[in-house]
Amino acid sequence: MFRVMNCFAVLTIIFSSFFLYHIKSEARRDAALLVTLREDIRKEQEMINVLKAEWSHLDQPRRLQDLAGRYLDLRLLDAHQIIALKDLNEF
Amino acid sequence: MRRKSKSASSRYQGSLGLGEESLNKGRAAVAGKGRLFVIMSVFVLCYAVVGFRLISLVNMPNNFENKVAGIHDALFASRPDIIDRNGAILATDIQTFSLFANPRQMLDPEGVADHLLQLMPTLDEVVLHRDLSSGRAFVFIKRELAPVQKARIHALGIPGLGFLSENRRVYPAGSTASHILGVVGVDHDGLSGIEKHIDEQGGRALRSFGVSHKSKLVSVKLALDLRVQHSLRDELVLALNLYGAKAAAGIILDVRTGEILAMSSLPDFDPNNASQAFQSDRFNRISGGVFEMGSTFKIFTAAMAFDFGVADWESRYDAREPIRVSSFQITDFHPQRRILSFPEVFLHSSNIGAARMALEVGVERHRDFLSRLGLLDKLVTELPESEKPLIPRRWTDLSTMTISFGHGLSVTPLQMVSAVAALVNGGRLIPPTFLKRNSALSSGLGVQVVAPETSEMIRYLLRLNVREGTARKAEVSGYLVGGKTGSAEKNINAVYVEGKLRTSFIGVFPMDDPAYVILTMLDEPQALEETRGYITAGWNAAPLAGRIIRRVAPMLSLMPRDEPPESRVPESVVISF
Repeated sequence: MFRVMNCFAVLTIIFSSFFLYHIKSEARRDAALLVTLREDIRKEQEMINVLKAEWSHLDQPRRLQDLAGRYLDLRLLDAHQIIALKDLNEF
Repeated sequence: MRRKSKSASSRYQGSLGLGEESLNKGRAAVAGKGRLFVIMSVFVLCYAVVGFRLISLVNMPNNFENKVAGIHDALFASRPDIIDRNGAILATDIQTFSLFANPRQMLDPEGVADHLLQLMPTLDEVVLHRDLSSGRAFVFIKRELAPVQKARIHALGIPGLGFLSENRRVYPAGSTASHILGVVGVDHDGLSGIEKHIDEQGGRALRSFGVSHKSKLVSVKLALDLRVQHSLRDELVLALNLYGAKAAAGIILDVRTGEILAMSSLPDFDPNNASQAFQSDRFNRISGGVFEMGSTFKIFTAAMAFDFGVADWESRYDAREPIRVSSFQITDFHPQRRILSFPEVFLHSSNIGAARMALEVGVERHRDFLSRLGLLDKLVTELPESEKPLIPRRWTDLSTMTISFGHGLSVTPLQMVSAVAALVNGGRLIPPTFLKRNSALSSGLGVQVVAPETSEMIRYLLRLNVREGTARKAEVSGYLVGGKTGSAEKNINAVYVEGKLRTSFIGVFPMDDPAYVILTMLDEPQALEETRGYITAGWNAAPLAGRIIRRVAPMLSLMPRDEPPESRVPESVVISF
């Protein structure tokens, strides 16, 4: 009876210590991965931020107006050129 | 008996001896089992603890990592973005890198210098060579590198070069919305405008306590529409140059919600270059300056007289002779020298008529009415730049007369616009805001300051003034503009200087269902051939407002429409023009 229990206890010790180290090493690896992933995400977000700022720089009405004035033959919209969709029936 | 007792005792002893032996044996077994049990339970307990700790380690989040990431994020997003009502970025933080070197760790400083010069040709060659061969432990080479440049330099793999990352506040729109946004100082703290407002609202406190990375800073959404803001500023710049004015300012406000869609004051500054912002002539003329607004004040005089029931469409005012009060004389700019009807006082912008109208209402009620419209108290908005109105120390009959046509009381143009919005939106005074308001919220906002009938009358007068009065050049076909011009002689060192005007125009569109109020203001516009030598508001501020409305109305999704048939006013009044 005691022998069985001892055997069981020893086996439990062996198994659980193996399990412990396995989990610990896995956790350590995951933690490292997490840190790199977080760092990557942060970098990406920073890059997105920079690109957004750059985009809004390029998308400025002032800049577009300047470019349109230089390259396009567009003129200011006049009120009579606007028509509602429902008034288009006759065409 | 003795023997018996002896045998009994010996038997007893015997049995006792025998019993003691077996009892001892049994006791030892029990004690051994008990000890074993204790030891086993201790072990089991130990394993249970270890097991429990194991499980909790696996399941519990790693707090340390979170803390590190949190610090990073707090550094990274130290100020919230500012966006316009459509989500366009007006201010954001970007990370920049500064390149520094430790020349002592360098094997070949000259070679490093050549490499760096190839990547960054703008660097000063002489200074770079001197710095790198100096033998110091730390020299800054270049600040505010873009991420791409940083990556290239990093790829060189030169020992002794390092990067420091820092945040920089950028304003992609440049000077377009400068006075609203404000500037930040070297420590990233807001010094003016909305930037300062954000700090006052607790953004600053949050930051110093460290923001957890889960509660990311929420962008601040302004009421401003970048396209409208650009159009307004663009037209103001053109007008400033065209009329040779010293300064120009304009604002567009939604009369239904109190939202400020655009506001510009020239000369302005580029918030990316904070040092410009505090030069004295670049102050915000819309909310940070008070002016005698001139004839645009007659809107309030007419509304007041009508609202108190002192005047109606049939009222007549004697404008044949200037009014003399002690040494002071009230004259008309366009003298009609006849008896004017109520709308005619407004259309011909008669000072005499307005003064008589205000006198009939009386000093007390006049002050009370202007106070109700918020013109006598400092207007509080999100912008820290807000100036207190200049009120006469003693409010006499003469004060009431001059204030009736906009002299003797100085208010900010923003107050003016907010009060006019209340007069045309049905009579509700809504506190103006630079932040986006949802329409559900603003429908409950505001206090009724005049009767809806008064509002109706003012709408009619304003529209009539653009159709037939002094503001004809503000007309934009399809958008039913209404408005009032004002040309005030500038008061320089307590003397009104002839020929130096501050002209302004307050317009509302579309007049059949007012949506927006616009104010334009020019400081000392010059006479031009196009203006036939005139410098009054009808020739500069009014057409300027017209040009702005023509540009922005389609952006504000206002459908152009024709004039509705006349119905609101008695036939006789219309005929009298």
